[in-house]
Amino acid sequence: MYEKVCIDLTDVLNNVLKGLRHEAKIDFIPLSDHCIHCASVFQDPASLQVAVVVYAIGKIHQRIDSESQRLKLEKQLISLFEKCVDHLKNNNEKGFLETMRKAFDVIRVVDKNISMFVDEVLDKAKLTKGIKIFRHGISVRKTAEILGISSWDLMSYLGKTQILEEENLREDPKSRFLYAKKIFDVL
Amino acid sequence: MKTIVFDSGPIISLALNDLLWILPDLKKYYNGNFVIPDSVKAEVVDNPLRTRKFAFEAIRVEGMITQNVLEISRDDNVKSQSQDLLTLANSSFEAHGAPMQLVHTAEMEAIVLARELHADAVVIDERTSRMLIEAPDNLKNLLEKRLQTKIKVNTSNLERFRSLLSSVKVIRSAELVSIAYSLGLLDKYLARNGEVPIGKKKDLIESVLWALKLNGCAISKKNIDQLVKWLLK
Repeated sequence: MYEKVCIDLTDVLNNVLKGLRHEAKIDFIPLSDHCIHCASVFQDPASLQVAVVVYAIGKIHQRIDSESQRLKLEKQLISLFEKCVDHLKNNNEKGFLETMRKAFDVIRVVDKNISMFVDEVLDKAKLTKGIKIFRHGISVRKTAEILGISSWDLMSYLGKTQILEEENLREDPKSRFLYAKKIFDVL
Repeated sequence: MKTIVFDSGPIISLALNDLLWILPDLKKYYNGNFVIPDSVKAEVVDNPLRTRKFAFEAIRVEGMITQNVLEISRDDNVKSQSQDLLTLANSSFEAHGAPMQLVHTAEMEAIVLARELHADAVVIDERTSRMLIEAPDNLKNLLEKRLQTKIKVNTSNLERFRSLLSSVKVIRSAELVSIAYSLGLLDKYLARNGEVPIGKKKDLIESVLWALKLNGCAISKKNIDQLVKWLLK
């Protein structure tokens, strides 16, 4: 694993742990976005998994009505994320990914009442993270491949964002338009 | 034979907007071939047919293939050249000492196929591939701005990439739809008793271009306004 990835993920997970232990008020969504920088550059599965899991936690955590269920989830995630931090310390990528997978499982079965919502959130998390990766300059298909989603999903989601308005593509639309007319012989 | 090659993006944009029907008429008017590499077919037909979400769109795309509106090219030479170009593209920009994997092999296949067939154009809706071909400096600026990191450019790789693709011209689904509009193919949406209300034509082309944009065609609002203006002239 790249050193920068290890450092960034350790930092993100330590902040997530602070939030789960109620040591500090932590907004999980920006933490998830932080992973996207590494995910775009290094396209490593670890950054992507953390980005998706942390986003999902941010969305799900407050939706759990039962106090005991929430405490149970927090306890399980704290234990898993502590292991993840250890794996990062020992540069054990395989162990890290396995433990993160367990975190996915824990989130999936957290509460029967929100299980549909969890699936939706995990799907949405992938799309949301996909848009961020695309925003960093990676192509649609490459982004879809990295996240294991379809280009169809990503394209239809991408179109509803403002990303392309933010970019000054500095294209020459007139030449493109005239060229299209020329090859179709449209006067 | 005149040829236009399609990447998957424009087919997806057209399918999601129920606009695939313009392709047979456009092809007839163009009087040439519309070709897709088999990797594009996999993405626009085979993969979505395995899901429920986009299976109906995939069936309609498949219909275009069975009617020979879209022809499939299976060419091992194109595949191997695509791999070479992919390596060049994905080693042209570095961040934090790591080469940035910007594009996917299937994206390269449509572009290489266009070059090999001496196609008039390759239709690409995707921003990054287009920038790589047409304006790699812009791509460097985009990467630096978004990643807030210095991007190192491997100039020799990038130059080689550009020189290999210098003959390739890119259009988008937005231009295809604009041509369809110019040819009056879209008038059927407006026709009332055989008459097309002139005042509605602006709404028509604007709404179709926006529909493409909302389904992923990389076109800005400003560019839509420009196209509408040029088309109504």
